[in-house]
Amino acid sequence: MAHRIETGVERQPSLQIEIDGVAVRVHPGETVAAALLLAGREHCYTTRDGEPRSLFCNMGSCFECLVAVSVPGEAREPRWRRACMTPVSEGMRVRTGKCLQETL
Amino acid sequence: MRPVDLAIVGAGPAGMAAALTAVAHGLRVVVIDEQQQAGGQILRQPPAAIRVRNWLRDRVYRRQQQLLQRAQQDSRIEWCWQTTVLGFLDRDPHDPASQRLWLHGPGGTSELAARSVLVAAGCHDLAVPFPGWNLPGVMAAGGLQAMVKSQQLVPGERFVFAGSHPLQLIVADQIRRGGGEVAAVLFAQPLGAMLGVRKRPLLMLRHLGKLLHIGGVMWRLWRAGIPVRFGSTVVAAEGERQLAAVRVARLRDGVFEPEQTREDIACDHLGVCYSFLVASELPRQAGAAVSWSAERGGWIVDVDGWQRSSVAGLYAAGETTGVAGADVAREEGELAALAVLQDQGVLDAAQAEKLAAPVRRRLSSLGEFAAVLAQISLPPWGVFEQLLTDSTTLCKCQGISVGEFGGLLQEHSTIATANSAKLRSRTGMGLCQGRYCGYFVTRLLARHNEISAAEVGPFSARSPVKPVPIADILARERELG
Repeated sequence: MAHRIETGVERQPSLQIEIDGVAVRVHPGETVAAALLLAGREHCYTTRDGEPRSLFCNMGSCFECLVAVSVPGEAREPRWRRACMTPVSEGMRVRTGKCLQETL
Repeated sequence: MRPVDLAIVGAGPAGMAAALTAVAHGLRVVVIDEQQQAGGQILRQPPAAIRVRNWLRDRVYRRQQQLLQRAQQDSRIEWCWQTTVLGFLDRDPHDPASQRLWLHGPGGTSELAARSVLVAAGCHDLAVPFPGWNLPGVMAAGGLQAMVKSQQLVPGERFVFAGSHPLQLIVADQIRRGGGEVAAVLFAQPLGAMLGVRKRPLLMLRHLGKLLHIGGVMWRLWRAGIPVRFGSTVVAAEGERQLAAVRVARLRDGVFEPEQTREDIACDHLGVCYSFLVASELPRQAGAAVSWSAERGGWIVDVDGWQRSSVAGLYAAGETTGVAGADVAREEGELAALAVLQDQGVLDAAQAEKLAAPVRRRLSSLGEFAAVLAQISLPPWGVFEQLLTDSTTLCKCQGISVGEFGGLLQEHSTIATANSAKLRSRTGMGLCQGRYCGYFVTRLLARHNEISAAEVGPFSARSPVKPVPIADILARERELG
């Protein structure tokens, strides 16, 4: 399992997001990718053939870490976002394992 | 809307150096980057909300850190964060001299007009396909590093690194320092190939700082009991929907030793670290000429001695013009800014040449070092060819195996270009738009047809060069009426 480096690192008070219906505490500035690793859920989206895809480049170029994200206040349906490029925010809801062809 | 003087794509060393030079001469500059802060991948900063004491304090980063401080403190530079440049739009008929960029940021899509555009979009890891590389837990070494450097997170428990680029030593050391266990660091090439650098003693002496940095890293790994092996690599990733172990084979004269001599190493994450591919899709979409370089990152943008691409008003600097590292990128960025200043009539030729002279002097030594590093950091094609077994996934986005791709080439002898291969096989049509498979599609095709990579050509880059939710585009259309 992933762990945070604590020595020499100061984080702000944690906030809560939801990953597949489970509440997870994360810190401001962390990405959805970091939250997924800490929660032990590496599987991001599912290909048409049913294969799991997950964080690979962690810099926004491979698009393998797509997850469905909805943010309260934005008042709209969930959107596909790159987990590695999306910072967490209070109340954010993340769904993993979905197929791109599925309706979100 | 009045166009900005210079739009810079990428806030890494090249983009920062170019921005500083351009604003110093009075240009209005906007720097666009997908991250939330300046620095690029080399100085991928922790987010503002996470404070890190003594972040990247090694001597080798000192000059880049100084550049970062100067850029961040310069209030004349306008930054546009968390924004992707989706492509170049058609020019406005009322202002044909300006280029129009199509952007996608937190607020949706938008446009930006600029008199000149500098693409300094950097590079990403060369992801060499091998059996099982599509398992979660197999990552680009650069991706693992960014987790540690920026998020201050060790993304697993037990790591293996495999490839051919010295970067993997640095990442392994950072993981170890962060409290992760590193089971092994594997270099495909024999140690002798790496030590080829000793034949260039004077050049190495001039770049002693970098060599000492690597030496220090090696020493720390050795003291921690982490095996660093040469002449062996990972030939398969194993696990049930998550990496559990890697299979390692030794190489003798570039050939994998037989099955019975292979060993398994348990790990939950593998960092793949062969080399890098340049991000040239934006200049290509704009119509800029490119050349093939197997060692310097695939399709690299052609530039003149002033970083001008073949498209008027479009410049390229840093890795986009061939992978050469952050120090070269910084100098090229400065050179590109001097070219823009010259082309916009702010500096005359003599003034620009005078300012460029010291930059060119630094570049010549740095470029030589980068060339040697590139040469020793990529194994011969034969190594990749053995990894690309028929069952190996070639294109992860569309789920196409090497065998299926090869079968199509056999069946359709007319497939000669990357574009025709894409139409037949769907490689390069997925989410990454061929950023990862393109390199191997080109090399496989060139080999199959016994033609040069130049004849195969790149996949055509189309706008949007990165996927964008259609709802975000529609929202903008509604806004514009």
